Amino acid sequence: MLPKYLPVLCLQIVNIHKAFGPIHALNGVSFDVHPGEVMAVLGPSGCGKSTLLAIIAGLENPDQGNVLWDKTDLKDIPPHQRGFGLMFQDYALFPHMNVFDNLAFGLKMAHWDADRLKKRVEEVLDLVGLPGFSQRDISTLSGGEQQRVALARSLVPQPRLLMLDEPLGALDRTLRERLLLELPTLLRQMNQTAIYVTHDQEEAFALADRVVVLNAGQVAQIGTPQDIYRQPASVFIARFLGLVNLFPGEIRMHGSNPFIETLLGAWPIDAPKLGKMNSGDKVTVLLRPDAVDLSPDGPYRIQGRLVECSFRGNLLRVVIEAEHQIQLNFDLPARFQLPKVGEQLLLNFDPRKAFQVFNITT
Amino acid sequence: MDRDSVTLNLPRLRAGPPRTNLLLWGAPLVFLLVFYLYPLGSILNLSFARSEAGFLAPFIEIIRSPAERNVVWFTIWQAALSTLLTLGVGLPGAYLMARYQFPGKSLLRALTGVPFVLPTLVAATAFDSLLGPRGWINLGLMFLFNKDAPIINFNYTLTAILVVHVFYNTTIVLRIVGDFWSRLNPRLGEAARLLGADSWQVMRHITLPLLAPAITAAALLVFIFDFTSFGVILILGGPHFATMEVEIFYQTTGLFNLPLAAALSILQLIFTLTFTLLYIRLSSGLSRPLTLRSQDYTQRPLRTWRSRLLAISIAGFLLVLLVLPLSSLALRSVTRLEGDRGQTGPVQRGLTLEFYRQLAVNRRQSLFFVPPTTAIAISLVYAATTVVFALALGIPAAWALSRNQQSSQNGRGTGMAINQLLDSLLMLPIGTSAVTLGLGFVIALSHPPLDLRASLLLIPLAHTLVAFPFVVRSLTPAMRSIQPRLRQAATVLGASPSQVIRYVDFPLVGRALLVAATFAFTISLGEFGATSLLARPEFPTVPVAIYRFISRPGGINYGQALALSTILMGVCLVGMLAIERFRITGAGEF
Repeated sequence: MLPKYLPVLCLQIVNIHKAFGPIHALNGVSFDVHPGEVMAVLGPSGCGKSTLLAIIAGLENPDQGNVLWDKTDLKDIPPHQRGFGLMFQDYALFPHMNVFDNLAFGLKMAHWDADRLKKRVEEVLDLVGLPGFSQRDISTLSGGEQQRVALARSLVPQPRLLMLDEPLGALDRTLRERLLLELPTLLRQMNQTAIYVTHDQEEAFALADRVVVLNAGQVAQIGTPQDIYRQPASVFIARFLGLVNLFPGEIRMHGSNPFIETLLGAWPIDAPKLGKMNSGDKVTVLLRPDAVDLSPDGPYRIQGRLVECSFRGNLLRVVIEAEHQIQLNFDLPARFQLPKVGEQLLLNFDPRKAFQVFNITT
Repeated sequence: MDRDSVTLNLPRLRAGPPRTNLLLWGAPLVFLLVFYLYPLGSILNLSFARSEAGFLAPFIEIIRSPAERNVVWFTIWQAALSTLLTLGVGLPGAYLMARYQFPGKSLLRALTGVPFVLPTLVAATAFDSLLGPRGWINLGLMFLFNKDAPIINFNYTLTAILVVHVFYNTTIVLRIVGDFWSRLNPRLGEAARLLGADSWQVMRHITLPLLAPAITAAALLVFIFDFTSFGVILILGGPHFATMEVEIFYQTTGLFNLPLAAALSILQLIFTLTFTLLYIRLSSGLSRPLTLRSQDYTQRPLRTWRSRLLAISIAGFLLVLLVLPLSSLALRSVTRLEGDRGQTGPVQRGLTLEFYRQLAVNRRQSLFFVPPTTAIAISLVYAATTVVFALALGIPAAWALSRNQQSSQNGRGTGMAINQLLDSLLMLPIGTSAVTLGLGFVIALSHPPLDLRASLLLIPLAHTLVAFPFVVRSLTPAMRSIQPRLRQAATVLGASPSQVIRYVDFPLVGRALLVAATFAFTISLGEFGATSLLARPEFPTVPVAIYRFISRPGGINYGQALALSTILMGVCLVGMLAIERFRITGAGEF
């Protein structure tokens, strides 16, 4: 059994490649996880997330690349000696054991004596909010209870790294939201280093210290949730995060002031946002959905017919159709009174905050 | 069954387990009563009527006689040993079939099914043609070391008995355990691995306990088969070894000691019943509702060299054990090896199709000559009829068994006791001496109230009796594993009971149904004991035709028997391949 606070450096994933026949599941993935950190691996289904977990766990061998723990290569260490925990998407609870035996399994493999084992299992059952569930049969548990038992089972042996594969995927919304609050608290409380795999950006942002976005077997971006949301590195990531107001444009210079020219108009933009892009470059323009206001005044405006409007409690989500049939989504504060669907809407915004541009190739 | 009748049945179906069971068990019970208990009762009654010293005397004779005690003891331990060996060979094979996809898999699967359907006579001949004094291996060794006498002594040894039992029954383990295993969620093992269990601990704590219902089901079938083994012991055991079944045969046909034979029959039945009850006791605590997975999810190609090596050695071993004797048989059927009697000179050898050509020739101008093609057609019609009968009886029975298992978990165990009784009742036909049963059919079903002498259904009915327990045993684990919630979900979605069966139960147990149908089909094709007593001369099955050839003297008859055995083997192989193909396209994975 590992001591509770092992002075670990970190997990290093170095240039992992894995192909299944003609399909390249992972294509040179590298990133680090720091001690005590919760790292989310975010990506659409089929981007190679589960394969990556299987490789870290040692259930699959990479075609190329290394998994290092504390600078030691784990290549020749079988899964059961890695001291990692994995909570499966379908929980994989042992149907022939009750809750207690499921939780105790890891400690039994490590030959804990019965008294200590019992104490530890009950401690973790308390921690996940299931006191008194020891003798329950797995088949009698609800979805949420199974989820907690699965989490508890992977926590009991105090793994140096906990991996969670879409752990909230099968749960109802209320339960999901409650666990979204509880889970990070729980993990921080234990200073648990964790990798959290999900396709849901909301989950990743709510839980993780840092997020690595995977696309088609490659790392698309690594950063804190705020970084990624504020500065998505590519059109793909912007789309994946639900930032859908994307349309083509071109960079122009007005003296020393850059601006972007689009089908919907021309607006100034901050020079640092352009990076290495030059005048004349074709770009994709992102208009952030939360950067607009409904007041008719202001120098920079966008006009369109209201197509859809839905009330989301603290905000109003509107879809307008601007010129050239370009559809734009916006989130407005809920205090506004909206015109009816089909009427024209005039929105103003601060172009220096609202825009981001991407090189057309990204 | 049309939709209206099902709707009308609905209120009764909901009345509770005992009455539902009675409904489901109705047909199987009537069948067992009329075609099992009635004939068996008739023959036993007749036998004991001849015992002058009273009903108990033959039993006392068995207890007193060391020879008879030995027979009982040998029957038990050889069956136990054979079962263990069969599991030892079958479980690695089941693992390979369950967890990996590889080229030639369905061919391997089909090949391994062939021995099971061969008449014992043919299997014994096949091994004789490989390992016997004039088998390929001894001939080869004699040639190599330039000796005149056979070097390997195989016939009339315990090894021969055990090897042929394993040869016969490995497919039971492959099918029952393999199919169940292929649908077990591999994540469970991976979860255990990550919790610190090494491969052996995963096997011990996770895989084996979850497989336990399938393993015990397979082991019980194998054990009962070995326990009641007849032809193998008669031919390969020689004078040293006799099981109770063989002893019944000797006592009936050789010594005409019908009371002793009847007592042995009853003793054999009691043993079978005891083992079955023991099994039910064990298995009721083992079965769990599992989330079964499709094979796409559980199986992977052989990617690493380690897994390839493993696959090659397991498949290679299975091929050597199962296919070598069969190909040896096929080769013998086209090879002339007959030397003159007592001659030690060179054997006149050569490839020949003479034996096949002779099959269509009615050399003795026999009135009852039937060309082998007709025998094959008759066998196939009987087998198809058996499949229909066995499934029609087996599905409701297996359903009743699985339903009660589930409802008893909710604290309603009223029907449980009845079910256990019925469960063991339906295992009895396998445990019953085929000789006794055949005689029973002849005696009881040849006069009013039930005169079936002239009916062509008589043989399919006898075959159904033997196949029925296999069908139920194959179906029950799969049916038990359907989570009740799935049926409830379908009902809530508006499915009528018949639609639930059609869209939920059937797709989920589809594979098990095919396994069950395969069993019924092949048991019927290979059954010999009862058939030989019941078949009318103008309608022989293939095994009966083979027996006709083999019981006549002379090399040409022996060759013809081998040729016909080879044809039967081919028919079974084609049938098995067809089922494999159908399984992939039709019923699909699940």
